[in-house]
Amino acid sequence: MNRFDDSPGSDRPFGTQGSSADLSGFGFDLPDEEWMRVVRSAEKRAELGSIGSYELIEEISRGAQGIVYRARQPNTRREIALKRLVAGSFAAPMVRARFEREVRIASNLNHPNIVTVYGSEVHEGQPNLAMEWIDGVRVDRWAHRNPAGRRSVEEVLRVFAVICDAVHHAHQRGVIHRDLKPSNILVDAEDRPHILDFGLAKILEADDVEAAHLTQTRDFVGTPAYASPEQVRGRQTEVDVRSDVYALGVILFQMLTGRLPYPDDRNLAELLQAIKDREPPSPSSLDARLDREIDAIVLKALSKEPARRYASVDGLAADVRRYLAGEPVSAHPPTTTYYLRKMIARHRLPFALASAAAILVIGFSIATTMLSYRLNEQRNAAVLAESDEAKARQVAEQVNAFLRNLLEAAEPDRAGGEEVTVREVLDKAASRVEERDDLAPEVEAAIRGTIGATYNGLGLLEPAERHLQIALKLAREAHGDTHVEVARHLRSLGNVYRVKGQHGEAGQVYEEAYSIFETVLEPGHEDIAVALANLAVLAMEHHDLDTGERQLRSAIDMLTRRLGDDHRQTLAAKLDLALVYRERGQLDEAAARLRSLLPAVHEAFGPDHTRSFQAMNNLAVILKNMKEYDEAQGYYEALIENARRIYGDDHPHTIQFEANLASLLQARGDLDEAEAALRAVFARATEVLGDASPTTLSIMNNLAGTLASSDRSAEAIELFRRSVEGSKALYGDRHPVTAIAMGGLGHALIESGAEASQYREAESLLKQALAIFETALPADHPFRRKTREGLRTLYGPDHLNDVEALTALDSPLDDRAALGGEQEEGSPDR
Amino acid sequence: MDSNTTRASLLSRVRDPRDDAAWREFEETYRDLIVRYCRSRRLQTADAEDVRQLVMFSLSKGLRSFEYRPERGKFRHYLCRTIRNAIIQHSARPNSPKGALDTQELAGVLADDSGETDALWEREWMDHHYRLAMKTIRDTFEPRSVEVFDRLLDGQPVDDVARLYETTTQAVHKVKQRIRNRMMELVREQIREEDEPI
Repeated sequence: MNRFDDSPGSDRPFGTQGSSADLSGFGFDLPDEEWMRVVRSAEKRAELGSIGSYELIEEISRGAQGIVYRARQPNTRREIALKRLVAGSFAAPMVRARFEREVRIASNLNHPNIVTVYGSEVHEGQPNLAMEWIDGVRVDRWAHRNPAGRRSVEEVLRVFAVICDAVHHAHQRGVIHRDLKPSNILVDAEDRPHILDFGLAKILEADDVEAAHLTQTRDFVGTPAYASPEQVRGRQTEVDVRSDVYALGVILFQMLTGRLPYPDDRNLAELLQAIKDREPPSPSSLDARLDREIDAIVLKALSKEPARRYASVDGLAADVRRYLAGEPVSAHPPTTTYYLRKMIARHRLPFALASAAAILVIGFSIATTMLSYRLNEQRNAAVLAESDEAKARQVAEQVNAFLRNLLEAAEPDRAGGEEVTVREVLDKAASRVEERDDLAPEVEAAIRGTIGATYNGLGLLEPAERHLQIALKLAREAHGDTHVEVARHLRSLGNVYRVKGQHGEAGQVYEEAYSIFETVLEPGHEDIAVALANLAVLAMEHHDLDTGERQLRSAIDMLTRRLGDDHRQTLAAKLDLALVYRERGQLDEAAARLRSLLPAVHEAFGPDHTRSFQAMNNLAVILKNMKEYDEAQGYYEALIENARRIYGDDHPHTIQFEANLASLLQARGDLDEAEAALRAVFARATEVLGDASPTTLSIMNNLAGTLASSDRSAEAIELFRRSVEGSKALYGDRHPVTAIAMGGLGHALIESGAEASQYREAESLLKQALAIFETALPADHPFRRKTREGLRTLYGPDHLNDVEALTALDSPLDDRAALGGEQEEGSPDR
Repeated sequence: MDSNTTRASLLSRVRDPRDDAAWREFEETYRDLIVRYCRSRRLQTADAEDVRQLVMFSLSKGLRSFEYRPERGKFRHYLCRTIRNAIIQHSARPNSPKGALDTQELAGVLADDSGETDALWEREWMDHHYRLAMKTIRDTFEPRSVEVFDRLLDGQPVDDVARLYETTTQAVHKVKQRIRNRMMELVREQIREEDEPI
């Protein structure tokens, strides 16, 4: 077989192809030998001649600024790269000025990974720049060149980190590249990268008049695909080191995935629009070798807002190296879960399934900030940015070191492959931090904050509060009162208070957190919005629905603009807003909102996340109140199963879901079953949460109501009394929850049919409850109706005007769930 | 993909001012031809590059609209005129380096500017089409066939090449003939496309 037969083309005989095109002169009629000479001469490399004294060897590349040739130096015969500014109608004097500055700046940079500039000469009015000749390939092609397939992720990252080092070196000397792209980065045979063309660099010095003048023009310099949003917008004054961080992000994206974040074969306008507005795909969605941490690093570098990027290239390089070392990266949302998961993976602790589940819990806790010393968003000066981030990184590394030592210390104790629970690790961390007296206050604050938030995530409120208190105190000492770190500890503390039902304290710390965030952060910042949403939930718990709604709407507005529609924080606030409708008794509306949010919530948080739980739970509660019992019960059973698996039996969430299912049974009329379930959950709630928590009170109310319905008035009355006291203490005298307890007590007293004094007490209670309901609830609310019915029973029909026809008398407590008792303890992600 | 059919649309695609990819392809395709023609007109490399810039600038104005102007004639003539105008424009610029284009050559350019193309241009233009066709062949033919053909281009005797590739001289001849036929087809396609009204 002829091995060349598979070539394309046809066997059609010479000269018979139908066409009118005139090929005379082309030489197709010549004999083979002569015809081949014609082809040879056509393909011959164009003779370039020389420029000035340099003999041109070949053209290497051409760009917006000029053409680069490989050339030979006349005396040394050394091969160099010669860059020539393209003149003509495009070459404004401005371009020329830029070129001359390039020479000055570039020759001041001296780094093994930055191409050396030998000098420049002006030839016939045209400047040329002589540079070190690098025999290498463009970094994107290097990353995808295949001697043995593609480069590994690790190889790519290692070279990338070296590139970052070189760029950082220039930044430290006040030089920003502004035109980083693969054609400006060559990798030689020893896999060493070399950066070319610090040609658009702008000197950061404020008094550089020339630089200021050059950047006044709004014309766009640079390759669009690698240009940052601020460059694309023509905001040259906003261009700083973080524009290079962005370009490096694009380059890393391309090196890892083989494509650009926004493919540049679309037209220019679309590309620029995408750079300004579109979120890039996550690298891991394009290449299965990549994971979420890579995503976090790349996407942080690609943030539209410079303030959300790495503040320095050094920071980017550090994260890449952390990733390579298997350490937590700062770009990843700094949840404790993530951190511990990293640590466990790194140290291969014998964490077994049970503790792995417990680890998940930690993610539900508020992520304190050990790695997330976000930069002051107002800042522009790169140098300042750098020193702040350096300091933050220092703290983060010390926190890292602390927990790392801790986990290493835990290891030998567990040599037998026994489980180490998160609780144990935490307790150990807690006692270790007590022992240390050499920790800097900001480091100890960060560690305590983490420990406290993690305890809170585990439902261990006492240690959570203690550590957060200390963290707060230390953060105040280290940073002053008005600092983001202080605000974050306040917020964590507020979450603990809310779970404990200490609404007054929660309100205070939330308020302070909010006012700090508002002072320190730029308007519309998501931390401000989240703080506002926290206040809103608190307002709702105080039944100030209008304030709650207003705050939530404004928070949702900010979050949507800042983070987008389907971001977790936005969804969390929308879930809270649905509850406003529930609280107002607009159950259909609330149910409709929750149903439509549910898929996005599952998608954004994952099905096992506490937020997904909450959404489902709240929907179930509403369905129950709409008497859609079967559907509601299905949700509850799923919730309980998941909660036991993930949180364990004694977690407030688990208790809450069990209480809710019990109250469903009660509402449906399965009283025996309901009573058994309520007793069990009441005992556990009292033990775990104490008497005074909202959950315990709501269980208490429901149990009392069930008992009342089963003719066990004495016990019911006793429980209701405790409930009234507890509700007054927790919510105040005029809160609907208090009114529910009072109403329940009133009904129970009437039904016990005892003494006249009890009737008088019942009358007083029902009157008070009705008064509260009349201000807080709409006219047709069942609570109002049922309370009137109670009074009517008491007085006889003539004593009440306008009473509706009697309906079947349910226990009013069946519906109390609609009034906040099932309010989840908050927004654990905040 | 058959490069004939994609090539055929370049000149029409480049009319769409939003199609930047087409414009880049256009620049890629023609810049070598422009510089080589300038060099054959004895311009220095640096000046040739300046002229290329000017040419691309006026082509971007002239072509990148949807207006068809049949009076321009064939693209090859239009392009040649544009380049010669640019050469004259460049030499007339006040800050143009002295000696960029010698007077005699300029006179030649001016004399040839009668609507007809000159012989230098015709040669460069044909070479350009050979290069395009060769590129397509290098991209689409089986690599071993291309290697064989390259050795023949280098002047190696057919017998040697056949021995090297452990095949018959007949097979080597067949490769050469196949490529030659395909090149003619390609060049014909390229010209037909270029001759579409602009």
